[in-house]
Amino acid sequence: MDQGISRRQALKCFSCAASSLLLTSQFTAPKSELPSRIKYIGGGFYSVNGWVVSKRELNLN
Amino acid sequence: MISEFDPAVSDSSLYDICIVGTGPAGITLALELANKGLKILLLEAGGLDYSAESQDFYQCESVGHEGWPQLTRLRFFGGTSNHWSGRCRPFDSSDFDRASINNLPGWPIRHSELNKYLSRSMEIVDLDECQGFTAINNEILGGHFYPDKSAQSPPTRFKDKYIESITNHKNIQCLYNATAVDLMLDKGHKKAQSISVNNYRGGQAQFKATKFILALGGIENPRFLLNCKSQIKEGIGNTHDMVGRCFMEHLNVPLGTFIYRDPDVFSQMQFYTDSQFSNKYDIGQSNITLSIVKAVKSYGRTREIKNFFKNIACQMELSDKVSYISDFKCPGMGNISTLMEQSPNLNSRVMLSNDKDAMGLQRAKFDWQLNDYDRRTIMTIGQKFAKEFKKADLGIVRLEEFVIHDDKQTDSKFSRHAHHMGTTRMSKSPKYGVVDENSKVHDLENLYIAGSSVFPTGGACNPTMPIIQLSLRMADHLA
Repeated sequence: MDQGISRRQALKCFSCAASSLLLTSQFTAPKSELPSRIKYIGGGFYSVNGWVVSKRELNLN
Repeated sequence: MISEFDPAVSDSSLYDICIVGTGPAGITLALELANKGLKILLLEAGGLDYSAESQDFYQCESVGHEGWPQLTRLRFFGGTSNHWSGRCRPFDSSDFDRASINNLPGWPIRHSELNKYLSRSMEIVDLDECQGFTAINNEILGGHFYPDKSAQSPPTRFKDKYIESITNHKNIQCLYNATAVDLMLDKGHKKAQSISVNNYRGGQAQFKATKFILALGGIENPRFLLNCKSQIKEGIGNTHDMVGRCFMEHLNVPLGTFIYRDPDVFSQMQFYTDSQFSNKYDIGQSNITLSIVKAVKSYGRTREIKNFFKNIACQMELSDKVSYISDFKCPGMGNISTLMEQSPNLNSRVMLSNDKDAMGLQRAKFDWQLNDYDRRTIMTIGQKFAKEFKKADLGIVRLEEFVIHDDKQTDSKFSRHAHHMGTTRMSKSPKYGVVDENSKVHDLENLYIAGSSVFPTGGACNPTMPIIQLSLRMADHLA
């Protein structure tokens, strides 16, 4: 019995898989590419890779 | 009356005042002075409409930061008002309080000397005086970040609104396609006697006037003076080598991004730092704008991938499911941008290039530079603003790395507002400026300069309103 799939089904599978990869790659990256740059910017605030967070948000109480 | 310049039929009589340039400064001065009974010659280098031939004279050699000086200005009747956005905001009184920045003196006049012309200036650009200048958001932030107040002109196109008045005014002779190429001085080099004017076909004529006003804009004013070297090799008004120096722009810095906690509450917001804040940290003034992003743009390979998926999705009738990839947007997400004051800086300047235009005049060599004062302004404003945003619990904010870390990337991260200022700055002393408190060139008895090139500091406000206020003040002085 022929176990092949249609071209339409193949494209659909590829599309879904690639979409997942694309979306995932937008939000995660290997650690080696994103070394954290942390700097105290005064007033109880830190910058972590540009994100401005309070001391409390960093659980540094 | 208004006509195309024809050297063969030019009027050789003596005018009271010759004004070079028909932008907001030139047109305002021409009408004010003519209404006071003075006989005016108004010269426009370009035609009545845009032409590539005229615009080519604005080609510059750019050796510093890119400011697009050839694209941001327009060389025809009405000048750059022909593509002005219309945002109006007068200077603050505190802009006139600073004695010096970068060891260069600030304004030599008081705010009150401009403020008395505010209502008349508003009328000129079709603003409702009763409505005044209003903020688009409430007082939300602390830390000296206040809602910025401005007003929106329609915007007024000076050509459309005023060409009829100029055409019909008995005291105004306006010539277009008339490029001023030289100013002829008396033997002692203390007084301008006549101006040489060319047309595009090689014709030339001289016009005499009792007083002359240059109203050519922040780049062409110094370029004209530097090109006037038939009698003085360093150019007119340049005894202390100040012509063209201290070029300033307003810095448009992408400080970072944010996501509002409650995106339905806010749309665009604008804040202004007060003088107390600037003085405390020894930095420039700033307008900070928060703008919601409607759709995230993509470039290069990401765009290609998105287009690939779009095509597949359309073929497979899956467009609804895939559309979020192509048009991804996050509610409440936006950008933080600025209109930030640049400090006067002797090394940021307009000079002459070795390249020449079609009339043989040297083109402008444009060298826009930032210094440590400006970098401190960017970093301080960015960090302080982000903290106030967090304290007010508006949402989350992410600053660009160059705002956080002093890693010298700042200089490649900003752009322009097309506000060209400071190149013939106003100063009591000729050592620090080109014009005096009345905008008269220090070196000459009868040459004046109008426009933002006389600003010794630029504040964080759009320059058109102060340009008009200064023009009205000059008209009162000269009448």
